[in-house]
Amino acid sequence: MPRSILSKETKKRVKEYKNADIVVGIPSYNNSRTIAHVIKAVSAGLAKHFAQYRCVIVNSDGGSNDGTLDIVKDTVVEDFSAILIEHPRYPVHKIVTPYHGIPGKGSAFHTIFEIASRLEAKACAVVDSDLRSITPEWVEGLLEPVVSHGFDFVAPLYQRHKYDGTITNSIVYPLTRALYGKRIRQPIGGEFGISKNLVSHFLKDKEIYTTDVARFGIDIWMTTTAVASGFKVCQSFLGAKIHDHKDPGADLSSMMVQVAGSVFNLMERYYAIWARVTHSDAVPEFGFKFEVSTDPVKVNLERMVEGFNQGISDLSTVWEKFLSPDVLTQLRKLAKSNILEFRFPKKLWVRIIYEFALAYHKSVISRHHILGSLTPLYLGRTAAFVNENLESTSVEVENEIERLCLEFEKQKPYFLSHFEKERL
Amino acid sequence: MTLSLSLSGPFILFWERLEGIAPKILEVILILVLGFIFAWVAKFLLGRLLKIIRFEDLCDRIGLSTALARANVRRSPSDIFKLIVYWLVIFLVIILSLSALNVQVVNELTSSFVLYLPRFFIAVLVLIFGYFLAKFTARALLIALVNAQVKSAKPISLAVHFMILILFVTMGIEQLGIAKGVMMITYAILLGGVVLALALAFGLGGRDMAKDFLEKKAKTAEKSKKKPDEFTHI
Repeated sequence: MPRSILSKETKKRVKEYKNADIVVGIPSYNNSRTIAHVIKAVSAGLAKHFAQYRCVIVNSDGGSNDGTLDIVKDTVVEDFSAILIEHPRYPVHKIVTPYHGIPGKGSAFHTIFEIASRLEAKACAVVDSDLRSITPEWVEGLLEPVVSHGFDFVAPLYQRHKYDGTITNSIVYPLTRALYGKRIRQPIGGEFGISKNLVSHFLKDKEIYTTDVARFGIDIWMTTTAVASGFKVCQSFLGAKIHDHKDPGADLSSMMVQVAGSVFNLMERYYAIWARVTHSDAVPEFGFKFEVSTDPVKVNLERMVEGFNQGISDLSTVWEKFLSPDVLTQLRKLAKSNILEFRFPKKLWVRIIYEFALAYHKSVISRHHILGSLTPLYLGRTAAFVNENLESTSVEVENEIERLCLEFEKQKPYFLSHFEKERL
Repeated sequence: MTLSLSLSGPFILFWERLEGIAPKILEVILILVLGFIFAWVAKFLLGRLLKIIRFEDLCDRIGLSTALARANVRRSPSDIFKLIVYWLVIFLVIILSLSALNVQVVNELTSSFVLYLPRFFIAVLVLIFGYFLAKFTARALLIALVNAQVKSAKPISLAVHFMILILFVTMGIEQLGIAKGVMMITYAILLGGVVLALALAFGLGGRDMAKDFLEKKAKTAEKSKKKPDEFTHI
């Protein structure tokens, strides 16, 4: 029998509660600034929208040393009268537990799923602990489609700043949409609603939590697994997404390696599924959509273009091993343009992503090196995206992302034929 | 009678000696013929095996084909591998056939050569391992430095590449027993010399330049700290 990832104390707490209807998991690591707000919003959401259910909040912590755990233990919603229609029938319980395994969000989720499974919860939701914009309605948005409409997987749909979520917008969303044929706009959003069946499915393959899935790869793994395994998926509009501010460039390269690596890795696993997909379909949407204004953000274009140019001058010898000569010629031409006129054609970007995916598939060189060398190109594409959309509204930006998605779908036959050739 | 006896004497002696050595010569010829046939069969079978396991693809992946092309070697990696195995078998067959003659000098030579063979193979393995380790480490370092936007990423990774290569070449030569100790000392002196020369050049010769360079670096770092991106990538 495999060793449980839960500590003795956690197992004892789980046994005390016997079972629950709903589990909401909050992974954390040094989130003392925001976690109280998240706990309050979740507690209020459960009390307001799921008053008749037995609910448990699970905080799975990665060894915070800034007092996050104490804040979680001490946080209580003192006055529900402002938001409640009826008084909750059951108190909302909390389980605070450290997680074991590789440090990362995926390991935290593993612990949450294990607890949800032991409690035989009908529905489970996970939310990030660094959210500033979460409201009680997020809980309803993530859980209602599972509890009342029989969906297995609820992905979030946010209103974000036009420059936010660039890995999502330029790689993950268009690529997963082209591959698996489902238009899930935020496949690595961070907040999800999951049914009991899907939780059990996520727990089947324990080995997966020893890979990059244990880190940033967890979100795309969950979304892809849900879609590729034929579970009922939908998305729910949650409003604006505002994170606690961190330097986003600090771990960009490792983030890129983990996210892109997970997407490419899943391609191998679900080849039989995505190879048959020829077009994409919309998925059911829940929630009332509304316009939200987001704070303006500063972008250091100079640094991005410099990063791209340095990549062109220093990493060409690496890319020569797997990028086609015409792609390299086009890239070299781009490096000569000045910052404000810097552009990166969609067609070229899509071709690059597919050629990186093929190189990863063939293991032309170390897979880690392939993924690591993508960062300067990503910086170039992001700089061009910012340049192209300086004056655009969020709707215009969304249309631009849609055009990128269509380009990914258009070039999929090229990718598929080369991928198949390698499998023969 | 006496004349005929004195004339036939050397022939008889020669014949007797030939009679004594002939089986051995036949043995040598037989070993050589069978050995050549065996070497050819081994080469043929190896060729088929390499095709089945896609040896050429593997060499492409690890960069061996490119390295050979750069060195102007026109044969494919599998051809080279087949040739190495073929000539190795031939070589062993020759040694085996010579030892069949049971001549003391040849025996001594072959035994000392056979004893040297493991050292030779270990040296070759050390060199091959060093080549790939140098390449892998330098590339990993280059990518990491470019992603961190370190301006001198390429020269740093090249320096690391050659340092590792030199270290492994030294180890290989040491293994072959050529100028034992001298190679290691030379390497240490070289490495120390390079570091010292760099320190002197940077610290004394180019004091002002170093100062300017560091100030410029600090200012650039300060500048980029002031203007971080505020959007999130995920």
